[in-house]
Amino acid sequence: MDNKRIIGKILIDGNLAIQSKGFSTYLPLGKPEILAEFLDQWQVDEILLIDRSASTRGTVIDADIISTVVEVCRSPLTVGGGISSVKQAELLVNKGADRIAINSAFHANPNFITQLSDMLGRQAVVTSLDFTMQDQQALVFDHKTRTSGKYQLMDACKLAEDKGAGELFIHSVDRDGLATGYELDVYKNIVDSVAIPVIASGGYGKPSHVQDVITTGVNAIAIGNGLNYVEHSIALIKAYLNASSIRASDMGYQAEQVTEEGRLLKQQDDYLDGLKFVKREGRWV
Amino acid sequence: MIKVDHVVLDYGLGNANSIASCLRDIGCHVIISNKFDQLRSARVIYIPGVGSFNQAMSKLHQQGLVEVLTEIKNNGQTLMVGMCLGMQLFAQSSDENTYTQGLGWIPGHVKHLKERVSNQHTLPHIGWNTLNKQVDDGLFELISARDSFYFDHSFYFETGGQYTCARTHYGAEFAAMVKRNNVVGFQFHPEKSQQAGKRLLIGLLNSYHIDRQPIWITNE
Repeated sequence: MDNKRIIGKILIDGNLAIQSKGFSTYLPLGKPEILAEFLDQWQVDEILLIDRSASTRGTVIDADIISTVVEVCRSPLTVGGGISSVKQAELLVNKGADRIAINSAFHANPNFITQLSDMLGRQAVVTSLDFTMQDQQALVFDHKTRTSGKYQLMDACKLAEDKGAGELFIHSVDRDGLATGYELDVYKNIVDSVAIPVIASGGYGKPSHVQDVITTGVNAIAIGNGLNYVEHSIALIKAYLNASSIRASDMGYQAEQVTEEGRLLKQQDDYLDGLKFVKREGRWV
Repeated sequence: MIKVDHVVLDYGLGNANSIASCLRDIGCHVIISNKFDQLRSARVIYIPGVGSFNQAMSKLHQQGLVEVLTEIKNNGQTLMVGMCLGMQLFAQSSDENTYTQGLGWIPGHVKHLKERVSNQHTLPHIGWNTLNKQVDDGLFELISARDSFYFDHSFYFETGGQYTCARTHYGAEFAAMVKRNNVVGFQFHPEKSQQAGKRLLIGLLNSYHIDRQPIWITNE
């Protein structure tokens, strides 16, 4: 059973992929389909494509971007950004999304989750929740006011589960882009309180952070920025972790070839020489 | 009308576009359609998933597709391939949302996984899992025991062993692939399972001698 997923998160703004830090600083990365194609080839377990500003702009993530990504990407795809009607969700699924992530529309109308899972099935509905920590309490972050109120994250998680969500995507605003590790206690509490799978997000800096968050019992770990600056990043993280609960990559990396930071170690000359004469055989099928 | 061998059924629910893209990768000329004449002349019809059972059946009924698809399937000349929900529709009935009759092409019923899986396992079953082959079949030609496939479902197809060609294990064993003559179904998403998924689809089409442009794959 290769049940824990490492999810590559691609944040977009309109049709541009961006990097986010603390939900306040943004850097451009390029075309989303190029990021998706690389993650797919490096054997990511799923891709999460989110338009960060769609709901505040009052629009929906562009269906044409999904079509473009699906042209080049054979990985499972979860899509989010401003989706507030069943019709919009159906169109995105038709274009190639496997699952739909709902954030703002859940807060506006929790029953929307029920409508969506009645139509698409529970397995296709992800509720996405952002939170900040205040006085050791995890509170739901509101995108409109850009602050957290008094709404407890745990209450929102339980409500989403009751309404028919198939998975929870829980993102830490405080740790977004900081690379300091995940908010472990929060995930542990949620996993203990709900029966649906949970995705941890926000804080990846090095492979051992993934190891730490797996021990909380989450089903999936989302990584954003950390994947974009190292060649074969996903395959290297998987090789470093070398865990039976994670689907191994077949790119041929061994755990001892990868540094603590998830980078490939400098190789000995004889190893590099050997690479010159690698013969890959194949056949027509 | 242009005759095309590979037709992905567009019935208003499901990820038709992903299946078509994946088939193009493996050298198939494919269209997405719900036109009866194109369906009738197809060599393979792919029925996509992602949706709930009752909604899918009601969309098929609304468009008169249940009768047409059943007629095509009964002729025996067309391979019918179901993915995820598309595969579950082959069953006689399902309990998803409300009791609904299916296409009834393969004896069996679709039930919730919670009836089988202990509560140590979260549901839905989302993630990559390996196949446990039940039969030696040419369609597994390019698949090894290490290959994993992407599953995303809360319900499973309870059917007889004679129709189950692969099982998977998540808290309990259940059907991952079903087959009966010219009807083949995947509980997982081969179109979203990267290289392994493509190899499985190539094996399937080759085992039914269906024309496509051959593609080059490297041995592992």
